[in-house]
Amino acid sequence: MTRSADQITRLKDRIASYFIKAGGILVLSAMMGILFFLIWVTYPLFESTTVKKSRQLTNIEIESMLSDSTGSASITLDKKNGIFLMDLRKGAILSNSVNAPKLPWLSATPINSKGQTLVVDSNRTIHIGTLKILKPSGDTDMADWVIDDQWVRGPRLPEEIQKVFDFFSSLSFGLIESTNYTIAARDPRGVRFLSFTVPSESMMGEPLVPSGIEFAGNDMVRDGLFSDDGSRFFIVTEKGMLQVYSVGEMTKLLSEREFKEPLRTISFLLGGRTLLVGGENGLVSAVQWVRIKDTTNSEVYILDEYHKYPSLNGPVLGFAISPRDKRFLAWTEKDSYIVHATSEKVLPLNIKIDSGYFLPNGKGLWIQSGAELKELLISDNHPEITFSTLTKPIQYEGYGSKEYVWQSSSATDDSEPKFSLIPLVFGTLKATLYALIFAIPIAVLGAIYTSQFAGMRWRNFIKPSIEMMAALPSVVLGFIGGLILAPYFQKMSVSVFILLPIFLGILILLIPVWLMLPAAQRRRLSSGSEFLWCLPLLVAAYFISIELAPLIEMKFFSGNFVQHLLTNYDLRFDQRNSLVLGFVLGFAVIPLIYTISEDALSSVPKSLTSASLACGASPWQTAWRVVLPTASPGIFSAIMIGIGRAVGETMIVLMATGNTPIMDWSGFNGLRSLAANIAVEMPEAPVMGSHYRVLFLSALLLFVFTFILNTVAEIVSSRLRRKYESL
Amino acid sequence: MIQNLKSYLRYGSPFIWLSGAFLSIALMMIAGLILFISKEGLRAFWPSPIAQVELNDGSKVLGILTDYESATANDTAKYQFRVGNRDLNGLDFRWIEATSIKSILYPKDIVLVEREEYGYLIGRFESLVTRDLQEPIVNNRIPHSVISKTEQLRSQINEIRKTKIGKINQKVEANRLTLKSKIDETTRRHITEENLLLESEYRVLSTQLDQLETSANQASVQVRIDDGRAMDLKIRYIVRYFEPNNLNLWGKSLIFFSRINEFLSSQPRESNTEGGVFPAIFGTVLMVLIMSILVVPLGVIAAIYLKEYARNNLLTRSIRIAVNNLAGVPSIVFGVFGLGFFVYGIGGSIDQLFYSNALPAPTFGTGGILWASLTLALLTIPVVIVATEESIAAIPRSQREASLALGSTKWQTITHIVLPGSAPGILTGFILAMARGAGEVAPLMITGVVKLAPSLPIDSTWPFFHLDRKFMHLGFHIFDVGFQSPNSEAAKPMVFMTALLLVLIVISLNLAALILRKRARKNLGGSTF
Repeated sequence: MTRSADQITRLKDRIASYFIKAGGILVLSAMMGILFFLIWVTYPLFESTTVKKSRQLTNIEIESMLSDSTGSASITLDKKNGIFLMDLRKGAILSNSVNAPKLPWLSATPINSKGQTLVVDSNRTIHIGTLKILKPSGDTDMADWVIDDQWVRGPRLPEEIQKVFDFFSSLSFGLIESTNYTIAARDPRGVRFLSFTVPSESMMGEPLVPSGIEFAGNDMVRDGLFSDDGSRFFIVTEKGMLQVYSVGEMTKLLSEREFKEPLRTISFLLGGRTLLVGGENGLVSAVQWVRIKDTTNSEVYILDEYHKYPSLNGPVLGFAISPRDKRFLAWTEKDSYIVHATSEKVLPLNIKIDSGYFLPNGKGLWIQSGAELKELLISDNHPEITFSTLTKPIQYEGYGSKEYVWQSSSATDDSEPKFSLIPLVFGTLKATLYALIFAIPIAVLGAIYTSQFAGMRWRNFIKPSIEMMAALPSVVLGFIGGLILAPYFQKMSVSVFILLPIFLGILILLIPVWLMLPAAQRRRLSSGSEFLWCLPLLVAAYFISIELAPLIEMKFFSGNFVQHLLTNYDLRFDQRNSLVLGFVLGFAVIPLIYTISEDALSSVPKSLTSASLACGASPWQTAWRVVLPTASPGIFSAIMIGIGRAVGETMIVLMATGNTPIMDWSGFNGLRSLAANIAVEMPEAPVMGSHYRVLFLSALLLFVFTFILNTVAEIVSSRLRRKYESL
Repeated sequence: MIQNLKSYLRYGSPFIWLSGAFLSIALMMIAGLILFISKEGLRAFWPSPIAQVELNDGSKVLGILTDYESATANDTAKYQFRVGNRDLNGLDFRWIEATSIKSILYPKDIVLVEREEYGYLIGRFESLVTRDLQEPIVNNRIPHSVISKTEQLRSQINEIRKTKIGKINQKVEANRLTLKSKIDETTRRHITEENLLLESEYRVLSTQLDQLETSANQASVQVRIDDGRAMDLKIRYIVRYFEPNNLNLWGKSLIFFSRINEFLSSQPRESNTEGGVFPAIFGTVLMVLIMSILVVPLGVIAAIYLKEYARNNLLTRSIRIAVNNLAGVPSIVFGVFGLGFFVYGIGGSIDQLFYSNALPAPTFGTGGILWASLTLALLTIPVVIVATEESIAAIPRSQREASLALGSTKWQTITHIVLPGSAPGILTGFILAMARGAGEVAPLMITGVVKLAPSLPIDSTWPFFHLDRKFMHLGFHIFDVGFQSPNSEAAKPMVFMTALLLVLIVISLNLAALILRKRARKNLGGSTF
């Protein structure tokens, strides 16, 4: 009987032991799991890219294609077969376009992303087509898919232009309005523009008057294209000139730029704001037509070569542009790569390329190589992120110089995401700095007073009430900072600035009065309750500062401090600024620093202080020369923990500053911190996208940073504890 | 004197004063903040008198004095009045220059009407329009019978609109999802028939509702506002109707407590800037409770493991440091983890497995009270672990050894000696975790808090607990009403009241922990601290 009870007890003990061990290890590893999860989400940003060959079609040679969004079929164009719908799984022709102009054609432009193409038939007549794939709903086997094409007929080209068709490298057309077109053609002397409207009034040979660009000397145009709205025309020449012309009533040279090698090809990046230029010796550069301020501070437009990519081997033959982001494919006879224009992340492809087309989702491309059409899948989902885009200044589209920019969301899809963490890290450090400047003196001096001089009964009251300050929800502090203190500070900034000097001034002025009191009286009044006498003085100082402030503002700041800052020092005053933030964030940090410092100071062994006092040192001398140095590691670790809190504080920073990611140490400006940025942007970031992962990266940064700070603090204070024990 | 000063400086007494001065700044800050919040929060409940301001041009303005700005170099002195009548004036507040004021009076016959929509109406009683008036109108008061009749109608309307029609809607939605999934023909027919039945039921209810609405709309009161216009106000939309200048202390206290009661127990109105915060209180409490259910057992188990089972080696020591440090990791980081792991990871998988009918609308794959509570549990578990470990360490070695010497097993020692002895410490940790959880907002913002939740996470429809639902939270309420509402000046009282409530909750939890800890130390004779 007793035996079995004993056994049950033992069994219980063993089960409990396993249960607790398993549970304990589970909980602890779950907590460590946070770190690993953050790393797991962040890692793909820096993963190396792989290229995988997928489908391959043989015996096919196309000139242009536009694949549908699923990538299973494409509108395809070649001069032999005209326009047809191709099954990308098998490489078979599904159906031919029924309305297309009759073959053979003299020329045809590649199908652009809107599905438009311009064809010149053997009769020299221009046709402009808009193509799309018509899918009967529910049909997935593609049997009934057809090309839905609509064509408008333009005028006939004049004969002398027809003669130079052989020189066209590409026939560009600029769509000015829905019916007004300009086309450009190259001839030995320059470029000719033809403007016409469709449908053309004159079906037969009304003379078109070409306008054009003519070159002096013996330069030759190699390639050219229109801007998106058709109002400007860009050309590259044999002598290495890149020129931009305005087109319209008058053709005028706007700007030019010379390159060191003959240029071969030109193309627009997604968004139509950046030009890609390819050279005869492998040069690949990104050029933008950007407005800058020149030496006389007036605004001018220049062609700015703002990214230069590694040279390819041989003449650059063409570019293919990603429809999703700022990547492009560039190729020569022997060499090719895919580059992200902003991050300059290069992915070499060791494949011979005749032409290439990105998939509509941007996750791969089709390559025409000889008589084969190959599909390549690219594993890189975050080409815009590299270590340098996150940490180094980058020149973005529309910017005149290299800058640190955080701008995660923008109005249009084709604009560049700008993910520099530097402005956010800067904002975080700035917030911390302002908070500490405010918090350290109050917290440390307050701790010295409480631990060394305050009377016992006061100490039991002071410490819990300051610890209560730590319990205040940060959202309440943020609200007070953003909605109450910020407007107050804007109105009363001078009185706030003079409050502390006035308070200390009153204290100094009272010294002689104090000294006139008899010594016994003094001792009785001051023993451990000095801070109580300071409280009414502080209130008095507050009222004096309010009364005095308008006078000072009148005398030194021409009546309005905020306006004075702007006109005399060019300092902008934001209502929710870093000074207000420093005050409120200080509120959150003071109790932390205070409590830990007070603990360290009050546990300095009695023997030390007694020895010092016995040697004749005054209480202050003992506190300053003996207690403070002994406890300084504890104060150091208190400050570390305070920094950790300030760095990660979210709601206060979110509410008490304007959240503008600017880099400026001025206390009158706002800032945007890592933590507040996460809170603002996380709900909007698409799951597993670049933005999402960068936000995870900033969370990881916060985690690691605070973890290190806290560990340092812990190590320092445990050393201190051991030191105390040995004393 | 000079000699005196020199020695005074050398001994450093002024510096003692200096450090005392800085301490007084810190104390003043906390006292000032708490007093300020209390004052502003309570002021919003207390009925303020309504001034009748006569301007120099002869026009009269009725309003509550809310702010005063003294004259500056560029500006004359100004008074701010809350004039109400937002639907007529467009603005709740009006600044009036001191120089343009002829007189300020407080006539007794001004009425303040708190409405369900458009905030305050301030004016004078004109007449009462109602079909069956049984008692005479005394002192411009609305007779009780009219009010109770309207109240009755209003609760009937609410009953139909919220409960009955709500149930029909839920059934229809459930049927829609079932129809989407693969079911056999008979069930399909059955469901379609049921839908038709529900539809006719709905039609009956809505005619009933129309009738009730018409009779509820019959009683109205006419109020003349300061610019002479008369306003017709349906009694069913009146929350409170009284003459603030005509109230004695008792009457004012009644209004004060009735407002507090409304604040604590009713739904928010006017995009959260008026009415109550009941759903936010409910959400906060429920979230903290769910969090506690998770965090206390797990935290205690982890602490017992660390203290009693794990060997005291480098690994354990570094785990201990890590746990300590996790308490210092910013809360938003936990929020990010909660969103990525709980919401999108686990929640997304649950949706795929069990709620695929409702996709792409997420059920658990979006923020909700369960995920928010789990996130906060992770955030607060270090607090519980540290507090429990501390109190376990405080159990005298002798007691433990005595227990073991008597032949009890380790588990028996833990359950009979260690846990009872450390219970106050565990309770302290638990209360501190609750306080931390109640005051935290940042991680909740991304894991399931919303500004206005349509329904509470617990209600009368099966399965009663709806842990996938989004919820409201007092802290987020402060952020949202203070910073996201279009009329932030009029919303301020609401923010102050909510802030006061939150501060009270958090501080009383902390005080409880403080007292408990003190007592626990006393009981253990202070030998280990």
